[in-house]
Amino acid sequence: MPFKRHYKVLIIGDRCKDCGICVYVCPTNVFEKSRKLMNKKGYWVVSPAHPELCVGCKLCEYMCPEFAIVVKYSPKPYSEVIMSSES
Amino acid sequence: MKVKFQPGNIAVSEGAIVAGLKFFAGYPITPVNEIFEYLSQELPKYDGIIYQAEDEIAAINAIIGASWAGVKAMTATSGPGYSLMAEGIGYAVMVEAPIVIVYSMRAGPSTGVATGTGQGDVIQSKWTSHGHYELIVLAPNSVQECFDLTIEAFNLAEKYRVPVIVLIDAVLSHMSEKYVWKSPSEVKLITRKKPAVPPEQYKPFKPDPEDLVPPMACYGEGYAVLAESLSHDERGYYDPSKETYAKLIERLTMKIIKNKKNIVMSETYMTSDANILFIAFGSVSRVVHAIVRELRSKGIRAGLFRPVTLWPIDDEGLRKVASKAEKVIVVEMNYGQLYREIMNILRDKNVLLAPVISPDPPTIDDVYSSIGEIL
Amino acid sequence: MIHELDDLLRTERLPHVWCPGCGIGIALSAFLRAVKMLARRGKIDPKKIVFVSGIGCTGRAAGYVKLDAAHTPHGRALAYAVGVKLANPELEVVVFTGDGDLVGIGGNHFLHAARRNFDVLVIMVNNMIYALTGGQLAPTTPQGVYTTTTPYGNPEPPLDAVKIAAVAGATYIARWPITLPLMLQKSIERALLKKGFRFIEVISTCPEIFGRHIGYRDPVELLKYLRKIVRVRKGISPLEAQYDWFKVIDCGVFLDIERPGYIELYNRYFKVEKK
Repeated sequence: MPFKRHYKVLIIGDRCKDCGICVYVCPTNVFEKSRKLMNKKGYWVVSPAHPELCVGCKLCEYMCPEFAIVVKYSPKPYSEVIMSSES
Repeated sequence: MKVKFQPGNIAVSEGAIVAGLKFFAGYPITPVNEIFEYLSQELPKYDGIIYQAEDEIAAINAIIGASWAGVKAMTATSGPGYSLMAEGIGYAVMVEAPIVIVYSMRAGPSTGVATGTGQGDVIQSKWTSHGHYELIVLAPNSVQECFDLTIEAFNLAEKYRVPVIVLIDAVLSHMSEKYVWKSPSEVKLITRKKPAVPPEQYKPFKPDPEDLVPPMACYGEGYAVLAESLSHDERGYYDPSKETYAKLIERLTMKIIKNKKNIVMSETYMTSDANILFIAFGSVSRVVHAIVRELRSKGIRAGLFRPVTLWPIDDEGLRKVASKAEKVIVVEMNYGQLYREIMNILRDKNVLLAPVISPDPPTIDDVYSSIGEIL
Repeated sequence: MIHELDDLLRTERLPHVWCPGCGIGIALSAFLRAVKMLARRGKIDPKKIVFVSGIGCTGRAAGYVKLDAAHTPHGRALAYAVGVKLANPELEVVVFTGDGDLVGIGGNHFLHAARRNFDVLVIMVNNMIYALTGGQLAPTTPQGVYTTTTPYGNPEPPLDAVKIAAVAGATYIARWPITLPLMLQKSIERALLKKGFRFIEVISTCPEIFGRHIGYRDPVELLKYLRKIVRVRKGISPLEAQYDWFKVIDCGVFLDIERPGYIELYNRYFKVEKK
């Protein structure tokens, strides 16, 4: 059976400024601009809608100006919006 | 301890070396070139770094950087160069960097008489930068004081984390006198307080309540400190709020004002029964000293109050000494800069100005002709 | 700690003050990743890095990094950095500042630090405008562009900092756009381990001010435009590299040589008997 890697895509919600760069650079369209979640600064947080399409290139993590995206290896495709990085 | 016979510029350099100077950034300007040249030769022998910057602006910013990197740093300049350093001095005050600036006044404004002397920078020495702040200005009047007060300047800078200006003039810079040189083990030397807590608990701008001065962690010690030029809170983070700004400016000011008694210095000569009180500083005070003696021999009860710290000035000492005087005459080589401060302090006294406007070293005749009319 | 760079950031101050889509965040991200990468390999100690920035949008970066840092007066970042390095040559000093701050008001310091081959890494984030103060002309603004102080169009030809650095005497010169974050990161990694004057120009996007002035208000549209005009070149000299926002901006590593840095030269000449 061919081996396929999976990834988890985490968004730190309060840092997102809805610039749309991650949506644009992702080669497999993992992200979608969304109007579901608003963060404490008044921005609509981007939605990591399709983590199963993620190939782990990390372009989103490198291109996000806000340090708001983390892409890591994961046993199963997974995405989450964690609003704050402070505990 | 040794007796040396050297010009003021060299005595200042010797004082700096004894105080522990480790970084000097300079730019050539008359009349302080001898300081730079002498230190260029001597400072490397004492493990110090000497650096000729591309302009005075680079020099002042470099010494602030060196100070935050943990060493005692100094520069030397005159009027035109100090004007260029204005912004940098404000930065040093804001980030509380202990630095020493040797300022040898010459005849201004602008290029003026580059090889002449003057006292036209009394106000600029303190207030050249924008914003309201406090710093310390010391005014030696002899080569001995050039040596002693340079060491004191480093001590004050390290103790209060403030720029300290050693204000001399072209006459003092170039005149040679005997003075007593002391080695580092024979003088009291102060170095900045270090933090007593680990990095997680340390706040770079949190003062010790006794003296309002924060302990200083420097670069490379693992404290991740930020030298922030914007209005900042105790962590050094930008905060434009009313409360933070007011608290910061108040502390930077009170740091010096509250500790004034430990900072101010002055000298009096024949003032216990003085009827006419002269006020002068720097090389002019030497001339006025002689004039006081001569007036006394003529039966006039003259006395001299010499501020050694120009800013902050020993106002309490002045008020005490002037209490019995009928006339107070301020003798300075400008049209009234120290005079304004004295007028403010002795508001109920008859304070007069005797200006001596000349690029040449002031003579007794010069001062006499100026005070003659008011005497 | 969620993001891998969170231990190099003052996370309690995030989100930072820069606009949505601002290239400075991308440039800073590349720099911090380079530091992290080298730290993991034991090649650099983050506690010995001093991060100096000036005044301007890029200048705000000093307030966000959890390193020894300084937010210096306008144009004086390099002058301050020189003092820090000379006082303690063990420190690795990095100047991270904007185009106006570095080659406008700070031009004199830039020229002389490059001439001395001073041991400092300079990262210039070039957004071709004075953004923080509202969009005034910068020395790097392309000709003809509207700025608030050239409302009839900029008459001045822009300055190409790469050429100045080359002529003055830098020993590592590179230019990368923020659309190539990995190339930028690798370039910074290489530069951090070198001596001498290392200059990396980062062509950045400013959607809110510069983008708006030229008609590309949306961060993604401006990014697309930047991708179009960037041309990565290999093996050309800094003087051949073109810098024209309306035609092509050549990027890549233009110079990577070894020459004694200022600290080495200083120690060579100031050999005196210590007292």
